[in-house]
Amino acid sequence: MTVSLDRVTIRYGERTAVHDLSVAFGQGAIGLLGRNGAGKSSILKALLGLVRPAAGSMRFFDLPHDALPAQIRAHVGYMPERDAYLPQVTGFEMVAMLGQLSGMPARDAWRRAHEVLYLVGLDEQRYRPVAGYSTGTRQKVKLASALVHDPKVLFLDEPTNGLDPAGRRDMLRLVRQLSSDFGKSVVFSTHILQDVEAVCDAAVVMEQGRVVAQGSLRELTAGGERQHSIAVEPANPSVQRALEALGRARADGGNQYTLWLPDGADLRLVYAAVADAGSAVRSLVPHRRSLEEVFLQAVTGGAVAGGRG
Amino acid sequence: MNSPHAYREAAYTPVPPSRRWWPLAAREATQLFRSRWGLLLYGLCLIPLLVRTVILMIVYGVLSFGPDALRNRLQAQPVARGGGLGPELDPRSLQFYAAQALQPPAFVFVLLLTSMVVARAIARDRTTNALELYWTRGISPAQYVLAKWAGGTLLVGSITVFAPFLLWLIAVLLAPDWSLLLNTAGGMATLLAALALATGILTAIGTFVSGAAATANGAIVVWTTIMVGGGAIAELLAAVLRIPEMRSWAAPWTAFGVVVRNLAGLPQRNASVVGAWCCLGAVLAWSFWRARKRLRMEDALA
Repeated sequence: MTVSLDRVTIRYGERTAVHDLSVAFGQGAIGLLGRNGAGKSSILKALLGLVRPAAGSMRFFDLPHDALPAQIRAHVGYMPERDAYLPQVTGFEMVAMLGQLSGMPARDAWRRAHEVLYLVGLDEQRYRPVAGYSTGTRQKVKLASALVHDPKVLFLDEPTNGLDPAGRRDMLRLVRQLSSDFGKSVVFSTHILQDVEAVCDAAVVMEQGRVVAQGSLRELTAGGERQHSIAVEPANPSVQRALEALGRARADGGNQYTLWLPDGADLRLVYAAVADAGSAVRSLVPHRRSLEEVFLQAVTGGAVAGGRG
Repeated sequence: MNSPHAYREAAYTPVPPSRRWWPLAAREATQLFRSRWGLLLYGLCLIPLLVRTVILMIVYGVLSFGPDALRNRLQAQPVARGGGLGPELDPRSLQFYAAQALQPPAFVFVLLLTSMVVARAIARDRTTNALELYWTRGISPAQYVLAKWAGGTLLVGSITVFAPFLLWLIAVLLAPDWSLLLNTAGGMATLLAALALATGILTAIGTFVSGAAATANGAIVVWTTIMVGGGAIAELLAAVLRIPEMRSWAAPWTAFGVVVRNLAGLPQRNASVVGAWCCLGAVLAWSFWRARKRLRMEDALA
């Protein structure tokens, strides 16, 4: 595992933001999902050494348990959620300065700043003051700043905030590329489920400071009930009763039905039940659960296959 | 993000953590020169140096303009013999160079410079959430504050320490013989060290005030209140209580001068050295306590 937390509790004064949380982030892109205030940013800040956990321990790579925050941050690129920039500098100067503060010699930082700014799509704009950038351009500069020192792990906190559709698509593609082609471990914190589906291999779902579901996207979306769209021929009122005997069923009008069956159920029973009702199955389309369903089920307390935290 | 450039790994030898704050300090020291207003402000701060350089040139006969009477008085014997305008205008006295940094016009320029640079240094970063970017890098919050202080000290020190040194260097070069160098070198070194120490204390207070403030403008208001308001309160107390030494106890700028003159062994009247140290120490401790509270990770990034 690249990064792991063991029974970590984070408190801000009297308020507990994260409660007794154990989670591990391995290779690839992992989505950290949760509603606002679920504790996602608190976890990232704790991992960066910005917030000291009240209890529990964290482990980074092969670094010792008592590694200094600066040692950890040398391997981590962080893109904060909030709009953040260095005042009175250009995009290039900001990225180069943050590279130097991460331990890069000046000449390397300058060269690398140009490279990563090109990578995120900032050409001549990088010579303009950051204060005058649009929100989307600042997001790109923040991503470039996170990449400048070539970290092993990227913590991206709501990276698509403020981006237009094209910018969002490009950002997601780049993040995906960084994780799949260049071996970066990416922890992608967001409340936008489509972003996680587009980029991540696995997800951790948080609610009120606790992990309520975690696993690969395949595992998470495979578990529980599975939805099937069924068309029969000819239309027959007794088909619905036959389907309800198998699982939860809904008539969608005409000869269309929706049937929810436990994952792994034998679909031959559907064909048999419809035949017994005097019709035949014209089409049967199983649907994977969307991440949205998984998320809603997890945060409202339902069981989610793939593991609970 | 449609760049044809692909991601490449970066190969570099990391700079030791203890030296990573330096680029930030260097940027802080040179930030003022990036705007026309900053250049203008710094140019204004150099006016006392230019005026005293002109005085030097008149004294040593390089320039011969100006009213005859004034020129004759400037070129007269040192004040000890009763002929000159005073030790602050006599290049053969260390007080000439100390006055460059301590006399009333210097206060205005130092106040301007510290208000625009030192007092805004951290508060400005807080406003743009830059603290979150800095502190997630290879420097600690303490190194960050150190960098801000060092940058501010270098800039302000260029007016309060380097300018007197430059003036003295010009005087040594213009002097007809080596006597000025031989007579003032030791004293000048002590004076410069005293100025550097006092400047460091002053900019530390300014940096802490900046760290404690929510906004850059708020920091400027607090800093100006300390510097100007402290002086006004000190004058009031001195007048009401008829104790001139009260100025050393309550006015940070007066305390700055008293400390420098004391360390450099320069004569001074109506000054309380203990009071000056107490004044600077108290303001430094108060501002440090406030900044420490506001710059805790949890509070600064909340």
